[in-house]
Amino acid sequence: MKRWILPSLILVFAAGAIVLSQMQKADAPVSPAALFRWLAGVENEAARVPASATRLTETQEIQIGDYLAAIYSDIFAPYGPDDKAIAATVQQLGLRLSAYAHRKLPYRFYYNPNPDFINAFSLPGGSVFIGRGLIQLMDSEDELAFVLGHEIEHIDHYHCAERVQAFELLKRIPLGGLVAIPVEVFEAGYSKDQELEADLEGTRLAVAAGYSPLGAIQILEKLDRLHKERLAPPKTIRQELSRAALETLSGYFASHPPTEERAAEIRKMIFEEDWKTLPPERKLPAKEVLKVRKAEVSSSLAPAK
Amino acid sequence: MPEDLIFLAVLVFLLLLWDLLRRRKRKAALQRLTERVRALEFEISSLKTLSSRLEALEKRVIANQPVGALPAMPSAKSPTASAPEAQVREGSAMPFEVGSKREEARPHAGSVIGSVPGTTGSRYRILTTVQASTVRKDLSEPGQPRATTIPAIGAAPHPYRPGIKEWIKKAINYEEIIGGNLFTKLGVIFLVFGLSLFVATQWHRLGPGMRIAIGYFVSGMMLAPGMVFERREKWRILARAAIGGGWALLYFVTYAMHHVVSPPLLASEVIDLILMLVVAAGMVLHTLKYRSQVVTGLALLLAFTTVTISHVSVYSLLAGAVLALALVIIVWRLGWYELEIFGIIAAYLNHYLWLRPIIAHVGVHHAFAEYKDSCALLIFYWAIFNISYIVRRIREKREESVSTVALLLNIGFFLGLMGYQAIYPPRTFLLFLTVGAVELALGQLPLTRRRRTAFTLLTTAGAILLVAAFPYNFSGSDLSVVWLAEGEAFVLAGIMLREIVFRWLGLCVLAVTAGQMLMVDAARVANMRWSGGPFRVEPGLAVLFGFAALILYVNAHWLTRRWRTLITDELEAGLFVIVSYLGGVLALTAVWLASSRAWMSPLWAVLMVVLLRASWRWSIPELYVQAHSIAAIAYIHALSVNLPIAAPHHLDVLRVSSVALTAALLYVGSRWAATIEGRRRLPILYRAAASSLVALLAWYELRPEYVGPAWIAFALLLMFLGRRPAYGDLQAQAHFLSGAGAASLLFVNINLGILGHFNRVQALTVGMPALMFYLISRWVVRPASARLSRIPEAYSWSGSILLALLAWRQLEPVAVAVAWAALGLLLFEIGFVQHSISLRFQGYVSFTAAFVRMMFSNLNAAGVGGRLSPRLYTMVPVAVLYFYVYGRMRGGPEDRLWRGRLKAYEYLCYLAVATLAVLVRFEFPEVWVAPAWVAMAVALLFGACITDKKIFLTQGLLLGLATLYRAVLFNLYQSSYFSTSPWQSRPLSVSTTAALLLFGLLFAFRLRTIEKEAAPESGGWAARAFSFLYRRPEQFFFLAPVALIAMLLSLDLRSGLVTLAWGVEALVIIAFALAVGERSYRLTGLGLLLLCVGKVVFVDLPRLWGTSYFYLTLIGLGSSLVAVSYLYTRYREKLRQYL
Repeated sequence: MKRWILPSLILVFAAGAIVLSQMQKADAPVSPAALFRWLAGVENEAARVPASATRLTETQEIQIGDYLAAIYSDIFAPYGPDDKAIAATVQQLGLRLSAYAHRKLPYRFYYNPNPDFINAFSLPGGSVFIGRGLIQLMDSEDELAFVLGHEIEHIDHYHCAERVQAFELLKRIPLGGLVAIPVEVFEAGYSKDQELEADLEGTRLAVAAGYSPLGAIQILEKLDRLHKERLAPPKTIRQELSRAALETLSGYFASHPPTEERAAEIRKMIFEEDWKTLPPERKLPAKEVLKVRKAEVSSSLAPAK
Repeated sequence: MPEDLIFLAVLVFLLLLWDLLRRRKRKAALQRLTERVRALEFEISSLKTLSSRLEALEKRVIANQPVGALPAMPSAKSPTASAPEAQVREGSAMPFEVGSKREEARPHAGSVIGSVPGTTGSRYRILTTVQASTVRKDLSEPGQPRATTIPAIGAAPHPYRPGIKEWIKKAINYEEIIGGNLFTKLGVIFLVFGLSLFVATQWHRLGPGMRIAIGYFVSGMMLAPGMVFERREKWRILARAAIGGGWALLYFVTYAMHHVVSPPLLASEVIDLILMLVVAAGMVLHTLKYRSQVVTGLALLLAFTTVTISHVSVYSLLAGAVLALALVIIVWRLGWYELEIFGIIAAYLNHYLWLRPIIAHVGVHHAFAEYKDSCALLIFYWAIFNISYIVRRIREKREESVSTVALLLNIGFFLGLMGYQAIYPPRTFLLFLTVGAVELALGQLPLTRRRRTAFTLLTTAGAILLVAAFPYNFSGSDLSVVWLAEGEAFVLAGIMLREIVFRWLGLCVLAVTAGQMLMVDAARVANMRWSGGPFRVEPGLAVLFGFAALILYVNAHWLTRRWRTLITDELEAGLFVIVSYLGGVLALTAVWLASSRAWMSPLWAVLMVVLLRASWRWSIPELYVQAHSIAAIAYIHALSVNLPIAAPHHLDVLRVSSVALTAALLYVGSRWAATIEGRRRLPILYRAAASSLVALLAWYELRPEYVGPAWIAFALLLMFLGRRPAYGDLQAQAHFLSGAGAASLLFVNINLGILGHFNRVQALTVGMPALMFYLISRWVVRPASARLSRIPEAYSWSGSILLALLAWRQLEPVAVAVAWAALGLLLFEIGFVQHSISLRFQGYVSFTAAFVRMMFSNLNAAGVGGRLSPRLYTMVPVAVLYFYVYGRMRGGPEDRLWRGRLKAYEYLCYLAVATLAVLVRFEFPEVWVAPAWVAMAVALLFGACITDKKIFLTQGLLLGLATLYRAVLFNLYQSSYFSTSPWQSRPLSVSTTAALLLFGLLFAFRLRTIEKEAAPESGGWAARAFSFLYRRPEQFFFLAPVALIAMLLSLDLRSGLVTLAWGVEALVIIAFALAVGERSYRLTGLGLLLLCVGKVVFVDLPRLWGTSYFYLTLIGLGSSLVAVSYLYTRYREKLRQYL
């Protein structure tokens, strides 16, 4: 009889865990995301030491970045009357953030007035680009600060520079020819680990500059909502399995980690960093300018009735 | 008139054909006889030779000569025997022995007398019993003499093969037949016809007297030479033809005197009739003299024909009647029964030819003046031919056959013509009844009963007529009842009188009755029901059918058992069997008539059970077959009618009750379905049919989500019942149903509701079947076949899979892994206690699935800050569970996984540690992952120490390596640029890691293998390196923290103080190495000191020259070097011991 005590206790323990799970209804999507993130982290860690040993000089990095920024800014749509104000806001906020960056580089912030451009990216040497489509999703400066901080940290942590190094290695071209790198290489995003690192460090940068870390959560949730609109939750085991299999096959190669995972990581960091006195939310100065356009976007984001 | 000519031509043709065939047959018989005579002559000559040889042998025996020398004696006629002959002699050295051996080898050997060519007739002959073909084969070998074979005595002669000459001869014979015989007869026929027509129609200028005179003259001119030349062989054929023609013409002319010529030469019809009788009598008497059936037949044919072509009134037929009478007398006297057939045909056809224009004129079934005369004539014909049939004496079988034909023709023509001329059809009933009764009565006469065939035929004909009479007066059910009564009366009469013919007739009548009931009464109802008409129950008809079925069954089974000794004839027994089957069909139909659509199946099933029970009780094979057929029909009806009687998945009481009752009766029927030898599978079929009905009923009645559970519950019941060896097939059914149920659960029940939400119906309808599967796995009888021996395990696997799927569907994603692990624990424990390796393996699979699930789901459950992490409270119990199972298995069964490569308990230990390690990786702050892992590694080393299980050492080392990787590449190099809390700082995390690694040394020293174990020869460098660490874990647990501290110092101290710090570290290392007596440690310290010296020279000197850090570095490093030097000097002796 005694020998049944221990397994019974374990079963009671397990039953308690099940009951607790049922009560808490923890959000746990079935996907290999966590494993991939771990794997990507291991991979990134393994590459860190050799990458730091063969890094570009700052001069080279700035030279390449400036050249690419000049090409890319030329293809921007012409500014409208309200775009100047937005561009000024972006520039101002970016400079405020870059003051807290680790690497002292000539940071420049570009605004793309194309409303269909719902993205932001950075180039080696300190150039950061953000699109009007992304800004239209924002309600506060905190959100913009997170986005710009995220891009600054890609530069600060040498992600852009490493991308150039990888391109050099891949194409076997001399460093002098690196100016021919297409901008899409940087637009496409980075590895999961690098993205998460940029998220966390970007949030830290925004907080250091006096912005609320909740801005990161807000903009990521909006992006997550956009993403989920295209992807209904699984209803059956079969759906869940096929989706997990699909994500297993495609997820590892996808650049950005799922937005909800990114938000979760930031929430975790907020909890760990114990940022109890969160700064108040700052309204985005360009909000009024974008009011009309934002209304259109919001209506498109609203769930179908 | 042309029709009459055609008729005449046909008659002539038939006559000639018959004659031709008769001749040919006779010739063939003669030929066979000739051949047989030849063979017999040959055999006789052979026997004579043999006899002489035996005499010679006897003489030699008497003279004391050896028997064996006999074959070697040279032939008197061939003193120099040829080589083949010599061989034959050698072969026949012991003729009787050889013969006996060959006879053994040839079971169908006949007695053969063989002789060597050239020695035929000599005394050198071989007597043996070798089959003729064998002799031919043996002696036909190259170089061997050919042996001629003689047909064995008593054996059939060889077929006669005519040569070309004989063919020619045969052709000439035919020519003779045609020219000398056929043409003669044709000529006479034409002559008689011509003269008859002349007398009847032509030569009006001549008076009647002249015409009659000419007729008589010509008749005389044919008869007189015929009589003269008939005595000569050469002219016999022609003469006989003339005689026949003469008599025919004479008869016609006599007839014509009153009936044909106008005005009649003879006024009195009576006198003319007397004259005709006289002529007929003369004709008969004269032709009888020659005893030639052909001549007499020809005469009669011509007489009939003349009557035919000249009939004027009904009285004309009197001549035919007289002829018929004469023919009957001839037939009776001479036994020319073939002739009677022609007479019957001629008489009736004559009558028909006379009757036809009359009927055509007045119309069918209308009265005509000569009706009574015609009836009288027909009755006369029928009577005289019947009498002829009865009184005749049969000498050969062939004659009986011919007589049978004559009787049948007589009855057939008589009834046909009577029916043809009938004025009032209902009287046909009386006619048939009367004729039938008369024929039946004739059959019972003592005179008739002398001849079995006559008795049989007349009785049968009478019975048939009696049966055929009733449809003219009765119809429908009345007819069935009358026939049933009639048939039963015959059967009973046959039983009582012990007369098989009556029984036969009775059975046939009953069979016909059954056929009539089915083809008429039942067909009428069927037509009504199947043509979309109203469905009406026919109780009256059903009672009649049931009654008829009962009568047939009583006859077929009770009578045959009661008077078993009577039924000896196989055909009769077969007829009783047919009656039994007909009874079955009638019973089936009775149920069909008596019940509504829905209740047909159960009622048929009841009938099936009754039949099976009866067949089982009295061992009646035909009842088995009927019962099986009815069972099949009931089953098909239930499938096609009862089940679709209402919409599926909808409760219908009628469907449930009718189908369930049918299934129950099929189960009951299976009890008695196996009693016939060789039909052991029938009960299986019965039970399979019943089970399939129940299963389909469940599908029709229940909602889809309850179908699968119902099937599995039913399978459970079947499995329980199938535990008895007699009902082993129920287990097979249970397998099938279980499979179907499982499929239903997978396709229907598992997909109910929403993933991750509790669904009561799903929990109930999947959980209960899963438990049932476990129960079934305990009840299933393990098949003997190796391929199927895993069926019980398949059931428990199915149950486990269902439970796992249920947990997957019902629980929150993070709880699924816990549930699977708990399920695995339960399975493992039960398998452990019950020594079931299958259950234990199910447990292992469940544990593995839980682990994979945790990797894909629980790791993503980060939870909400401030709350207990779902990862933590779901993965820790699973890890504990893994450890428990590992501990439980110690000393237990050594299950092996991955094709025996891995012990199960080790696998579980790895799962447990991996779970915890992964949990730590995701649950702990990034920087504290490495310290936590190293803490786990130390704990594992501790576990290895206290349990003496090297698996913990392996796991500890693996975790230690992971820790080193993590600490170096993450903690040291991947840190935030922003200031964080001290707990997140690099120095704290790395130094804690190093400290814990050093703490692990306590256990690593205890675990190191002092004995030098041979390093594995195979494997790469990694395997060899790990093997080294496995033997010397203290090396890793010392060198790793030393390296970490050195790197931490280099990263976190100012550039000038790094060398100093390294120097101090080296000093501590050497001191520690001296304390523990480990040379490799000392060398490490010395190496670090040397590195410091080099760094001072090559790095610090150029960079820090002139700064206070440089001086401090030099001082510190110098002090360390001195201290080390002191230590070496102080402990020199001890070092030598270590060395």
